[in-house]
Amino acid sequence: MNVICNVNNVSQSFSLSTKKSLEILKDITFDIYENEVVSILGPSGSGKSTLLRMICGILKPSSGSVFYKGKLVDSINPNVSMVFQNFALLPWLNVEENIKLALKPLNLSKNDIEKYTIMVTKITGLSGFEEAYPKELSGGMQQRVGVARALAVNPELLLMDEPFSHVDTLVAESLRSELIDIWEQRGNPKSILIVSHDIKEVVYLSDKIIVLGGKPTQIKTIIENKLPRPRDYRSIDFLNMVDYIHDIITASDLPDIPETIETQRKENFFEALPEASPGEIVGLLEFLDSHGGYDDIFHIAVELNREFGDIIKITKAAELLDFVDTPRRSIVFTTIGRKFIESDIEHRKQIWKKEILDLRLVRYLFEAVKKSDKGFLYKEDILNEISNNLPQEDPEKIFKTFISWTRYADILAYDSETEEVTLQ
Amino acid sequence: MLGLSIFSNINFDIVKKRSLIADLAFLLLLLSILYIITHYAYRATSHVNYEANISLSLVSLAKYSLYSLSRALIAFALSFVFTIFYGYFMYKNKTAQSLLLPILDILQSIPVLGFLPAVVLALIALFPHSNIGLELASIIMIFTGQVWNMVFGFYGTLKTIPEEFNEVASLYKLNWFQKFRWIEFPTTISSLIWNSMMSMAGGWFFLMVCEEFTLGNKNFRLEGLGSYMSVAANEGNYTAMAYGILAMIAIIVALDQFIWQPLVAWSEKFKIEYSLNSKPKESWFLNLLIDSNILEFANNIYKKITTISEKKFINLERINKKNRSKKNKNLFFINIIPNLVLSLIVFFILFASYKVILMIKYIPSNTWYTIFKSDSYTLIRVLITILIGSLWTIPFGIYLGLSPKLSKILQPIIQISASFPAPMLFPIIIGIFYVLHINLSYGSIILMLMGTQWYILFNVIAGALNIPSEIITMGKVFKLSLWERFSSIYFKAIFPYLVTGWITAAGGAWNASIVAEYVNFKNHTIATTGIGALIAQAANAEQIPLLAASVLVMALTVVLFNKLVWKNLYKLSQNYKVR
Repeated sequence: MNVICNVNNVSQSFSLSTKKSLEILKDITFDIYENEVVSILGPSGSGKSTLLRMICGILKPSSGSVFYKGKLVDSINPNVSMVFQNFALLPWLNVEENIKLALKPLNLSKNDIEKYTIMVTKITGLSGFEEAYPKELSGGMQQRVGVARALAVNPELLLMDEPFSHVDTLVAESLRSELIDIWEQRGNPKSILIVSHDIKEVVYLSDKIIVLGGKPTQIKTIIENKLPRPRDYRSIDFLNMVDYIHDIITASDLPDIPETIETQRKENFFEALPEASPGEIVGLLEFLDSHGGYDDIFHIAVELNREFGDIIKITKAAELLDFVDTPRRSIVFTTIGRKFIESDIEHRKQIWKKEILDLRLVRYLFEAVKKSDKGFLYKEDILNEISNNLPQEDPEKIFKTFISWTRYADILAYDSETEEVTLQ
Repeated sequence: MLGLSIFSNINFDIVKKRSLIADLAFLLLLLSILYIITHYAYRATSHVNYEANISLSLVSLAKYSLYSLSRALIAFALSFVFTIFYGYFMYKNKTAQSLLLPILDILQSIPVLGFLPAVVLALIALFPHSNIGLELASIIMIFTGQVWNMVFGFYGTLKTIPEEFNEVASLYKLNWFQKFRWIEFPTTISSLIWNSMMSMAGGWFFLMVCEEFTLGNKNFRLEGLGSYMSVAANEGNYTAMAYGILAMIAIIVALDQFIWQPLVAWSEKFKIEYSLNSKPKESWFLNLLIDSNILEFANNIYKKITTISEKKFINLERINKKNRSKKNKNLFFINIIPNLVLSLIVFFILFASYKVILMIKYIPSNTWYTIFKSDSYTLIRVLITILIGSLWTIPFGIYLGLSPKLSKILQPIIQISASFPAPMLFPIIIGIFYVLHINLSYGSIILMLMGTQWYILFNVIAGALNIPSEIITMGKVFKLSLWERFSSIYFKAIFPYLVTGWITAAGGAWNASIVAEYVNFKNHTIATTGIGALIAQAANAEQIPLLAASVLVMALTVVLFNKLVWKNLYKLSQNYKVR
């Protein structure tokens, strides 16, 4: 098999301000072979779409390069086409016109344009809807138009940016199987690269799964998926594969580190606060309580209808506060967590306060506010402190979490108008 | 404690020291404003001088600039009060709405000079022994250039208040003042501020006309920046003109920095949004105000006043509960007063129409022919103005909107150019026309363009900023040609905004015609065929019937064009909304 696209040591950073920049993607390397469906799996905000835009040639990597069939991609690659998360259909054009728009730059004869349009409307199940305008169609039908438009230009490599995340779950299942049918039956697209945060979708569609994670985002692992097609969401092998990926993600995001290292870490490092509000953390604990104090993290994600990336963030926060332990992919109460959930609101706040003041970053910033001459600090000062101590993190996000946690504990107050953080 | 030692290196004392300097600065600022206004008031009341002598010295220019600024601010205060009452009345009272909205439509299309003779003659007669009459006349004319779009903006946003908010208000039994203070005022404040900025620019536009004019064989001239420019233009003194232009720019920049930017930054908190994702606007002046103790002081006084008034409300309600006559009293306020006001307005309109008809009854048919011919000339000019304005602003505006970095750099320059009253540049442009032998019939189009193209540009930029990034990416991924991207994507996506820009620009162009078709330069008056020139001539010559007829025809053309063309175009454009 030939390599169709090679992503070589690609990194990307964005400037936060004139002085600072934040690295989003780091040292990403992988190949896409001919006749292969490849998935990129990662939580939202991890830079997956950015990666897709670099492969397409819209965005230049900060370092590293993308090769297409051995040639460096330095302008928009004519052999690829894209399907968008929000469909990107023009509301003033009907289905047929939206598809034909993509064909215009190819300088085809009128007959050919007509031929291709009819062909792609047929294979995407849009026959009869040619005259309809996007706003008259459901999300699923709109994405069919997006797929039809992408297929019309006959791309060798089809890029898909979370194509089914804004489509009804049931409709998404049928769209996935139709997509695989199209890919198996036709010459082009030879390969598909799909970005997703849905583990089941990724296992169903792809031959190779690239798992992203960490900060900045790096490749955690690349998994070959050799399950025979057609795949069945409910078969034992399929579920095992899903489980296997669950384990990989939890192992990388919620590692089971022995207690001593954990405490040592607390002494020496400033810990990044995961982006989770007190409401979400307490909600997770309540959920756990009503499910016997023990549950599987991915089961929780399904039950609560949340992205697993979010649940992992919340779990991380709860673990940081010593409310839960995470042996492998399950979550269990600690004694503190149990005590917290059984207390009334006043006691909860006391426990919460004690737990967050155990965190070095919170304690450090709290002391700083306390020791300031006027009894308050500006947001800017705190942001500076955060970015000095945690250069890899987005200071605004950490600040937001810091404020929400200390507000819940009734120890600090924040006025967004004057941007002053004061003692409560 | 290693970490904390880093912290103690930051000197937080600097931050509060600033406040003492800030306090002093504000005290000085307040005192100087107080001085200027009392001085201005003293000048206005102390003597009668309908034709002031204008000195072209720099010291006088500084004084004149402050006088003009005072006039504009007083006019703006009037506009603000008028806007609140007029807009609120229309919002609360169905009958008022159906009557007052069309009146507003017509008033807005009457050019400043249309109000001139009536206002001036009436006010001078009222105050025969001082300059107050003339000053007031000038202020009211500036007011007519400011007020209409504020009323439209205020009323428009009042109508968009979510129904849930009104339900909350009735659920918690808020009285009208509480409702105004907690719901209606906060929801409209943002648009009110933006419209105020536009209105100030509208007021400056006719400053020269408002400070120096002729009625019949009488000349009127007030000391001010506008009259300074007029005199400089008549003398052909280019140095003085340049100083005048610089003074105007200084006023615009100062207003922007000291009033508008702080207000915009302050109003951010009233936006109906529940997320804090977008970075709020900042103003250095507002930050300074927050640092100083003045705002706190004012806030404390305000709190005291409101608690007293709230207590009064509670007391009132207690008394009212005992008192059955409350219902009758309320009925009186809710039903009788508005109806009385409305009947008065209707009576006034009927009376005014009767007077106007009496006046224009005797106008000979060949004069009517001239009026209509001039009107169509101006109509053609307005349309060409919009066409030319669109030709450059559409591509440029889209380009700016799609590159946020560039638009951020250029924004202040564009904003100042847009707020600068174009008529102040007219004498210079006319000089160029004179050298190049350009007829004013065509030249006036350029003059009208200078005042109105900004409305189109602003709207195009706003439209381009609103195109979803996925759609822009889509155009690139599918390698659509530049023309294809422009015609199939960008142009259509900005079309709804473009139409709004056209409507505002057309209104501005009609109004600008009275200064663009009739220009004073080096003691010459240059005029061309057009309804604007006709109105200007009629006002100068005090030919009231001709003036009334011309203004009427122009207003009707504008209103008809709005109803027949712009309204339909607007409806059509709503199909092109991307979001």
